[in-house]
Amino acid sequence: MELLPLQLTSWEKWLELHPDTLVLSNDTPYQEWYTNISLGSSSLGPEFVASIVYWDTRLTHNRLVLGVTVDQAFRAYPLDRVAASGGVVNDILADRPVVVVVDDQSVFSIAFSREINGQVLNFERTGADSLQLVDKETGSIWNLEGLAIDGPLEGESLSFVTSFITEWYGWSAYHPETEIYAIANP
Amino acid sequence: MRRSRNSPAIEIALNRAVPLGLLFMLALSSCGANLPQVPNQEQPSPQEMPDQVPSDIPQKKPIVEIPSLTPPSEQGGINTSFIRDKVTEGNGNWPFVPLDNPEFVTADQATYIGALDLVLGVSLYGESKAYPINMMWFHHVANDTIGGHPIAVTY
Repeated sequence: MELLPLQLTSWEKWLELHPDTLVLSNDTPYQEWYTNISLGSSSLGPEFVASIVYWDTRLTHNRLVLGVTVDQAFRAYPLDRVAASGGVVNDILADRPVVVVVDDQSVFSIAFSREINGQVLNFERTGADSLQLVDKETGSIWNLEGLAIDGPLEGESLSFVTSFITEWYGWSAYHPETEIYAIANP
Repeated sequence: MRRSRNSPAIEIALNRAVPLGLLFMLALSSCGANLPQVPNQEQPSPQEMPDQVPSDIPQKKPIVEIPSLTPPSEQGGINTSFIRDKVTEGNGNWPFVPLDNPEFVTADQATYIGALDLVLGVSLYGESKAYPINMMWFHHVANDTIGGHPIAVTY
């Protein structure tokens, strides 16, 4: 099956990006099961843990990471490290230039290809608006969903790179060979 | 930061008398939710637990009767759907309850979601949909469409 971008984020952030969004109705026969979830603070049951065939202790099990896949290369970007890098990481994975972004609240994170029309871009945050990036090459302004909203490249879209927020234990269990992003100049 | 409507709903589930019939054992989400744990009576396995894992085991065993669900329609023949009882937690003991052809409301009708609650968002083919993870934690899979295209939303 083809993988499509599925964004894990806060309701207010999603609504800000997509004011016209529909929402799953909670009027189902299972409503009483719907209970609040908090990421990054999970306590795992022994039975569940026993079912995990690979346990990687390089990071704490519930560390939130953006798991990024390019071809058969896997790299985990701890959200706090991306935030510490200014919220934007211009990186190369499997020889492909990628950019990883996270918002100020670390509730929105995604990866894109940095290559567009044969040109490789380098991004940084605009600073004023946490939802916007600027590329150094053209000065175009981009939103966090990879759409150029102003400047010479207005209307262009960055290609989504398979990526999603997950807890470390899940990512590393599926991808034992994963690399972990380390801040180059902390 | 988070609203604390966690307990009441689940407490109702935990305390409800359960007749014989279809029982569903709640297992922890593979997605790392902070939820009640179920000690499995049949195959104790704590020896292999890694050190870092908290081992708080709740006093109550969440058991509820799950209403029967209409099987996903086979119409069309080309769409893949995740079918109830065929999708299970890690060791295969707990069937998921996929959400088939779910219903939606508009944002202003969604009073059951708080600003900081987490959702899975999809925006494709001119349509945007949000799937609150407190629901997706339970179902794990929603067989749905976006802009007329069939998608499986997973958590």
